[in-house]
Amino acid sequence: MEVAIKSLPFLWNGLLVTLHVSALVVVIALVLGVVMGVGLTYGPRLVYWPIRLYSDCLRGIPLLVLIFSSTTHCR
Amino acid sequence: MQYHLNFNFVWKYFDRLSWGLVLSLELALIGILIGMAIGLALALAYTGAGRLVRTAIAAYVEFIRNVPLLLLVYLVFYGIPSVGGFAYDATTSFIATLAIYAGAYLVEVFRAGLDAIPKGLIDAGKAIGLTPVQRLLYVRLPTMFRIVLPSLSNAYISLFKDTSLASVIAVPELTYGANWIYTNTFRIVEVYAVVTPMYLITGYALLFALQRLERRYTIRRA
Repeated sequence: MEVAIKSLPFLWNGLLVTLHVSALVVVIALVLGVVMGVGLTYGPRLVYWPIRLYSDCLRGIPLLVLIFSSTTHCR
Repeated sequence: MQYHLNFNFVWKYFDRLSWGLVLSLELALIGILIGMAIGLALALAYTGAGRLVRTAIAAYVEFIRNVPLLLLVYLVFYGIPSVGGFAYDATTSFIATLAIYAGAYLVEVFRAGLDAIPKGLIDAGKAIGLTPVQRLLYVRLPTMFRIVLPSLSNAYISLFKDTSLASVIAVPELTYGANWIYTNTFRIVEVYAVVTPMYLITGYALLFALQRLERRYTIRRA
């Protein structure tokens, strides 16, 4: 229990990072999502299919696999 | 860019990936089956029981749904043995975690399905003199399953993808196989270029199979 109390500041910083990341992600994803959602509903075929492909592919891959592959590809 | 693609190592250790995929599917299957049993039992208890049971079930669902699965995986694998004083292997631990997790999601699915059964069907069952157990077996459960099939297939595919989290406690499934090859050969681009389509294709195969089921069994309203 003492360990847990001592590590509280550290965990608190972690929570802040989590909140920071989620806020960023929500904002970016909202913008992307609205734009692509409009593209899917009203766009011509040339717009529709790339968005469909992007959405279906990324939804079919586990997040963990995406994280592992993206971090190391970018090195 | 001085990087040259070399897939030789991926093919050399491909059996780690193929058996990994088999294990992923097995984890998902067993987890889903146990999770469905939990979900169905709790959904039935929820609709039939008093306030105390309802609160307990709601607490379980809310707890599991608001905690990341990764945290649950660590908690069950490292936490329970250190408190309970016994150990179990990572695969069993992950199946237990996935079942508990799936249970919480499926309770909600089944509960919505049970609520969506037309009242007239149950009254018809009463009118022809079916006992409560017969009404459950011949009227409520079959109707409920046909109503919830689309939500169920969504949940199944999510849960299949969630098996990738078993790699963090060294269950040798697909993602673990990929990381093994990566750490031993440093061929990360090639490994994930192979593993990603494996998840995609399997996910889509599952989706098509489930959609066939849906087309066959969904209730069409005249």
